[in-house]
Amino acid sequence: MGIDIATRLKEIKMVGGPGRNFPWPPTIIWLPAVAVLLLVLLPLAYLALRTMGAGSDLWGLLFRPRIFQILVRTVLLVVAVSGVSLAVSLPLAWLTTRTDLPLRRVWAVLTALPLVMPSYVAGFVVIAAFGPRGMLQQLLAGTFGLERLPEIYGFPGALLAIAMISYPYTLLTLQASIRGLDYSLEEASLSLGNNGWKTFRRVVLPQLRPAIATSTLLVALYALKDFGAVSLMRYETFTWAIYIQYQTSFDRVLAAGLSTVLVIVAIIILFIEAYTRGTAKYHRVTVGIARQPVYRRLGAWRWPSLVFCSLVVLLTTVLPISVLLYWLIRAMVVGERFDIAWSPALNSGYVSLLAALVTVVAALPVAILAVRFPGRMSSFLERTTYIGFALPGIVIALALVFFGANYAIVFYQTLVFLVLAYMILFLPEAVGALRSSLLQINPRLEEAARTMGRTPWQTLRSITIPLMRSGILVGAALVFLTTMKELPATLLLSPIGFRTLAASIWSYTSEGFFARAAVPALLLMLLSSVPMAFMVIRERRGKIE
Amino acid sequence: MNRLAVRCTEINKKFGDSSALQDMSLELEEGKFLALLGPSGCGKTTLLRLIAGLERPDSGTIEVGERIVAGKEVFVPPEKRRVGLVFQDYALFPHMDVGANVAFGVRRDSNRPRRVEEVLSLVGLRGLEHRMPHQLSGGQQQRVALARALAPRPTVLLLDEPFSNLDADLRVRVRVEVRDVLACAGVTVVFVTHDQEEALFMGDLVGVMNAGRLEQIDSPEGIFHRPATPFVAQFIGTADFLTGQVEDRTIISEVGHIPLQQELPAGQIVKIMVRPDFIDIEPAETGRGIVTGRIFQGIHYLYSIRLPSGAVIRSLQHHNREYPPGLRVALRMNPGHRITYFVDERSAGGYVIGSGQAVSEVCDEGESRGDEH
Amino acid sequence: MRKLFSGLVTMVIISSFILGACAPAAQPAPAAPAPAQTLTIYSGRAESLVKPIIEQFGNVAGVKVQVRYGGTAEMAAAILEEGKNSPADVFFAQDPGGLGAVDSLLMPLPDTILSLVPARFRSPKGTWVGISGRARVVVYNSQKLAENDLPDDIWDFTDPKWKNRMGWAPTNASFQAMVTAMRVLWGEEKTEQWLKGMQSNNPKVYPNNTAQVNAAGAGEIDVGFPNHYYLYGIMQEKGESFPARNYYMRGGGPGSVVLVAGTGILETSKNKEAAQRFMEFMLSPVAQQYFASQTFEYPVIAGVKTHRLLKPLAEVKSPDVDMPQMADVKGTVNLLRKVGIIP
Repeated sequence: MGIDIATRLKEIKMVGGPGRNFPWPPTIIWLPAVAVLLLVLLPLAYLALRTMGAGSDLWGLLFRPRIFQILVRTVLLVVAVSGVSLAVSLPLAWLTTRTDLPLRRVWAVLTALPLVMPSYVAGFVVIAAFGPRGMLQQLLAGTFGLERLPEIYGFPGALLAIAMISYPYTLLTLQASIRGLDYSLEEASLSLGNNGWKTFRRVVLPQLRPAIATSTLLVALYALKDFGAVSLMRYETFTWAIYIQYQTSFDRVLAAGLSTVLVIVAIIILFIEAYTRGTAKYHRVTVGIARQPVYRRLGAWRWPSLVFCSLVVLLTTVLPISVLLYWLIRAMVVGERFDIAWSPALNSGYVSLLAALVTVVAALPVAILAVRFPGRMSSFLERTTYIGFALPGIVIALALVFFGANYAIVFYQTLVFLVLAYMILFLPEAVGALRSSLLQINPRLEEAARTMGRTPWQTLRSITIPLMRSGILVGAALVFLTTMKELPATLLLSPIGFRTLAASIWSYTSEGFFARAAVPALLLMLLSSVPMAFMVIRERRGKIE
Repeated sequence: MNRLAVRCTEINKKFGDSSALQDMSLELEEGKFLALLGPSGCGKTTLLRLIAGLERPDSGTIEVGERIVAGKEVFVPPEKRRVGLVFQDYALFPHMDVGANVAFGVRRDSNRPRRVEEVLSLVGLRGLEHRMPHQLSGGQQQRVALARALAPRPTVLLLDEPFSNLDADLRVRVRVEVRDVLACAGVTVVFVTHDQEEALFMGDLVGVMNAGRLEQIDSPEGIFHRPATPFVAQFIGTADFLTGQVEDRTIISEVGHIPLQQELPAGQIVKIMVRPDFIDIEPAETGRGIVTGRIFQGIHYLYSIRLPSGAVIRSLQHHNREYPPGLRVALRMNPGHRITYFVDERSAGGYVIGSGQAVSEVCDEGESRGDEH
Repeated sequence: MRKLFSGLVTMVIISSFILGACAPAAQPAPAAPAPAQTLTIYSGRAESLVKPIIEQFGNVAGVKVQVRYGGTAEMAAAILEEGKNSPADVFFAQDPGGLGAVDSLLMPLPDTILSLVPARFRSPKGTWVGISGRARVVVYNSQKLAENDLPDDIWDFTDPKWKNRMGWAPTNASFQAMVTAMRVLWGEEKTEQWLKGMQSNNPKVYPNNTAQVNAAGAGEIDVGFPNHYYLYGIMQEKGESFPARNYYMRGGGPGSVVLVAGTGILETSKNKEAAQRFMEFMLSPVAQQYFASQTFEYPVIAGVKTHRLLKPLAEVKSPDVDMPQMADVKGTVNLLRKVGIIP
């Protein structure tokens, strides 16, 4: 009898299967999700701990006009970067997925590539190219005798540098989402007499809304937490102010106080995103199977489209690579010698791969909860994963240093801990990508599997995960690429002596050895373009079943 | 009595504040075919999902194959219920070919390929094992979904509006096929539809649902001839309602006096159901009805007649009886039909109009007409 | 296709478990009792500058040395967060500020080490010593200016004629140390006036010294206020034609104060003996010669020659600043905040 009740209780807990209004998701979903939640909350616990010890002078330091001014600048930058990256990504995503644009794949890889650039490299590159005595000015001075360019420092430079490396977040998510669209809906719209543009606006765009919201969120939060580019561009943002506290006064309390404000800003952004995202269902509700997309003929638009793609690639990929090559060649002329150190490259690739795998695995239960078991708890959980992404890397890294050294000394400064840090930092990249792809999977498919004798776990394995493939690939690629260039956590948490490319680049640039930094920077971009190309090509093939 | 395949006892289910099912009770014997009929939003899909285990009831118990699968402290997850479900949109796995879809629910052993072949032959799709779902027509997808659900030999098979996505011609053909396939498979079936014709055709039993309640469950003929509620009467076939009053073991109404079979208090107001084929009309200067509308249906005209009280009833006439709107007509009852009357929205009995038996001054013998349904 | 994919996913999951299980074994935790002769250094100084000499120490002393590289501020913050459990034995900081921040966690050094370094280059409490010296200088664009165009004293840059021609890096620790020296030498009021005067000349704000020196070379600014050695690193890469030069204040004063990068030993270190040997080595003529010739810094012990490009330390009119007073970083930060230079 006792056993019987126990089995029954177990059965009750096993209730699962995706559906509306289930009181409790399956254990294999909620248990890992809660574990992930606890990890993600560590940085917040750290901030609470640091600010709690502070007296009233913290408030005095926080509520100053200067801080408010910085807050306004930060918001301005976040809005501008989000807008620019959406404006660039939307046409690019469309052109590279649904049109007969020549060399589509090549464009798809090239346009996503800037994501691999560390923000401080982007900053240096922009200064080198557009600075007062930069390459552009020297070019124009030679031909037109131009003495002064419009000031790049401050807002324009920060906008350019950050938008340049963060727009691929939007681009990649939108591409995946466009590929997942049910083409028959577009056909329906075309048949109703809407022309291509109208169809895009009225049928495609609304379906892309969750993807737009999620990916723009990533861009916005990235702009919020960037330090490298804003400090080089002398644009004072909140994250800059936080770093400055560590740098100048080693003031952990004020830094924590400012970080708390940043968390609040991030929460506001999250609310805006939730509002924009809407509550509509986006999986196909129609019958039958999605039709293969037809690549639309560009016709006369072919040349303008090519020019647009070329301009973006020129600015965001060709230019940085040229600047890096220029530094390299100039130093070689002077007689500098370089050794290509392969071990940092291997380390970077290895740890980024691990981070990508672990992060995607951690993101899976969170995304499933958010999409299949909508409710206050699951949306709280999903939103919370973004906190780690919104905070400056140094804050997350120090939080983990604190918890690691004091409570998990066995794992501290091991790969486990480093990968954990990357997971906390980049979880939302994977959650967002998985979420978007899950939204496009009809929950009836999972229910069908359940009625045919599959447990929630089996269903996940045989139906959900295979169908989420494109989202999984995008999520893993995003995490991989951003891990490659991550700096603060890498410096503080990696096993001692574990050198990565990003650390090498930083180490050289911080001492002004740009030419030496160019070698690992080029290597980083080269290595990162491999999984990127793999993802783009595989993605295209994978769609056709 | 046969074993019960499905028994639901006083199930309640709410989504948020809105009630999807209220005190739903239902019994279905093994091997029977139950068609659940009702307007959209009446809770019929919810009932299927509860039986399949995709939702949990708030209260009440559900038994499948005489085993409690949902009830107080008990919940058997869907994968352990042996209940098959064919979804309205088929839910074929887009990443698997037909063979893999059908094999999905079958235990992995040496018999699996045989079973797949077996059910595919049953639905007439042998040879299409390696097609991908998107390469199939709608009807084929539908049959794959059916084969897939049948393959694991479920105790009960649930079908959720399986034909609603097919065009009219195909629907009629496919439903004959499906009925035969299912009869052949000998499986107990609960079938949900909002199409009354489909329900009457497919079901050994027809259940009519409305607003989360089961209004009536009966044989197709029983449902049609002896509706338990005005809603059922209206939902199955066409029905018009008139008010009558009990007086001296008779109901006095505008279409005549109907003898009561049982006691009802004098003065009781009752609702009388008549169907268009019950009523015959003939032009008459002194007639009490006025033709107000006419719909041409090919073989028939459907006339709307306004009665002195303002009530409107309909009458089915052969296409050669063409009356202009505004014409004054006399009404009479065709014999052999059962007039049902309702008290408090529940059936209180019925009366079969006898041949040659006048139920009112306007009724006399008339030629029998074809049943519309 | 499907099998391949699910196989991949399974692999992901399995490998993540393996990672969880094996990684700690593969990478021994630094805090576990290490072999007595493994020294862990947290270095705020860049790898490219100090790695060779640290390796040399390892070879000479037969000690296994592990180094974690990062920014001085980040390293100091990490040591503070790690607290008692810090795996670090030695902290090698870029500037006295970083050492001051972790002062309470450093052990008092024995006189044998302290006595090697002049008092002005070491901690007043005896918890750290300078390893190499760097002078504050003015860097100027040599195409636009000659040394004669530059004033005697740093105070004179408040003159409006320098408006829109200058750059500085006020968040930089060395800059702040210079301001601290001003407060010691000039007093609070004059320092505040200098800061305000500079502010009204609208200097361009750079994140660090490198950016400042580059900007001076590129002609973005006419003058900047870095440490002396950045220029030589850049010249090494870009050639000696790089059009920027250092100028040491003719009149001395806080504008040419000499600061140090230094090291301290953590109180919690389990390898104090090796750590002391490391410090002794860093103060040996070999290491001092390395800093002088490879990183273009000033040696802190007597008898070591400075680089031919550098002005000898004896010729630098460096003011005599009392080290205990230099410790008041907080006061400087508050002043900078008050004037609105840092947030």
